[in-house]
Amino acid sequence: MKLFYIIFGSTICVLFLYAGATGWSVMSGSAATWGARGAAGFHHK
Amino acid sequence: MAGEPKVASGRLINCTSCGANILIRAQGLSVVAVCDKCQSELDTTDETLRVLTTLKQRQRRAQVIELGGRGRVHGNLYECIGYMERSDDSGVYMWSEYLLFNPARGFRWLTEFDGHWNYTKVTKNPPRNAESYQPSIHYLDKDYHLFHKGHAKVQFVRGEFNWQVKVGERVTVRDYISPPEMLSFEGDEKEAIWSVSTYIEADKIRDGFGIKEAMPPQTGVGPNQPTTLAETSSGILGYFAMFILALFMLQTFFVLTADRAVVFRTEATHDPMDPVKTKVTPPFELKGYRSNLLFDLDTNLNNGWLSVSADLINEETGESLAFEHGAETYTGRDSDGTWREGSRHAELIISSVPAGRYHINYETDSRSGPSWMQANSMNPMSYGLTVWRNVPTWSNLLWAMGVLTIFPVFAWWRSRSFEVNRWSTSDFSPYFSEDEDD
Repeated sequence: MKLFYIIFGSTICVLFLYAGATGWSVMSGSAATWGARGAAGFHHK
Repeated sequence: MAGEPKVASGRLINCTSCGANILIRAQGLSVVAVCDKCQSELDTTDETLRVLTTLKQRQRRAQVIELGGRGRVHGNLYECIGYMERSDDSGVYMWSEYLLFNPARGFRWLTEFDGHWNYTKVTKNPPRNAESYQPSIHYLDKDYHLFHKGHAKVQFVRGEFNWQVKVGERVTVRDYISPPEMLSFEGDEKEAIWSVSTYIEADKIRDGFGIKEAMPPQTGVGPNQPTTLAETSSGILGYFAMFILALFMLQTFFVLTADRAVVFRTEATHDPMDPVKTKVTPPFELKGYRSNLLFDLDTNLNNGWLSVSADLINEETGESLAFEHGAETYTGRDSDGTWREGSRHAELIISSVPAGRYHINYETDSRSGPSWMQANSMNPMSYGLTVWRNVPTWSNLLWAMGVLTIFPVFAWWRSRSFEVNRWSTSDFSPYFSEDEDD
């Protein structure tokens, strides 16, 4: 269990580092995925 | 094995009551022997083997080590020479005790209760303050905690013993635990005996004595059953602290190095009476690698709401990201006084937006929804929309801490459950108060 936690905790820290470096946020408004222009929402321009 | 002390070979005697053969294994050390056939208890220190008493007794438990059975405990060879069943005053709780003998090492005991085994040795070095009824005793650099206090009554005996055992004999007992050890006191008006027991796995007894029969089923947690759960829990807690420290260091780095750059800002007015019209922002440049965007909506709302539907469009790739954003606030007065809900201000984070040239198409709305809401949203309102690049966020830290906390809490809970279970049979449990028992 201890070894598993070390691996698990290290993974969380690495993910946190990656998220911080790329500006990824757990609580964000980017629920919609990126799509081709006009694929989502409206496309007035 | 060369040089190893052998177990006794024994001397055959005849029961003076019925004539049956009795093998005395600890010759010269045994004081009494019980005839298996007629239950006579013979005085083996007397040349005439006088009958002390005829026992009226009944065996109630499974004896898994036969008299004369030889086996190893902690690497040392012993022979079982006596078997005894004892109980508490009520007779409900019974346990088995096997008297072991090795000529070079002397007498030892194996005790079994609820499938939990202990290897016991009488100590010649009893703890200080032995007569006091303290809740704990410090003995040989360890603290032993009072687990059981009561009486033990002999119910059944077989084989030979190094004292004059009597069925019905009753002594006061106190058990103090410091897993895997247990310090036990037994005494009456005449004598006081202290012994140290070490918990031993049932498998080791079975293998050591080559027991073929099923071992007594194990239930609950033994009073002095060792566990690595507490150690694991504290070990995990140490790593938890390390990971949290690492997260805070990384978070500090992110906060200190965040750009917080304003990439777009506009001030405008929303008139609900105007037909819906899409607004297009001028292009703006997002620099660097990937980073987040913060959409900051600031309004002069009063009892109303404003929503923004937007498309973030990458002019180079044509990719777009649709999102909704909004602010609402309501005020009123009731019996408790003035109240206010919501906020004129709202922020929205968009994750991991690649660098590039972007613009935003957006519409504002305050008319949708139920009629009672529309009534409050028909006045023109001014708002400001600001887009920030690379702002520090705290949600990742909170989530990471939350996820990392699950394991330590689980490990602590397992360890605590084990201890609660261990102490559940004790009247001196630190986990149950008398109030809870009521």
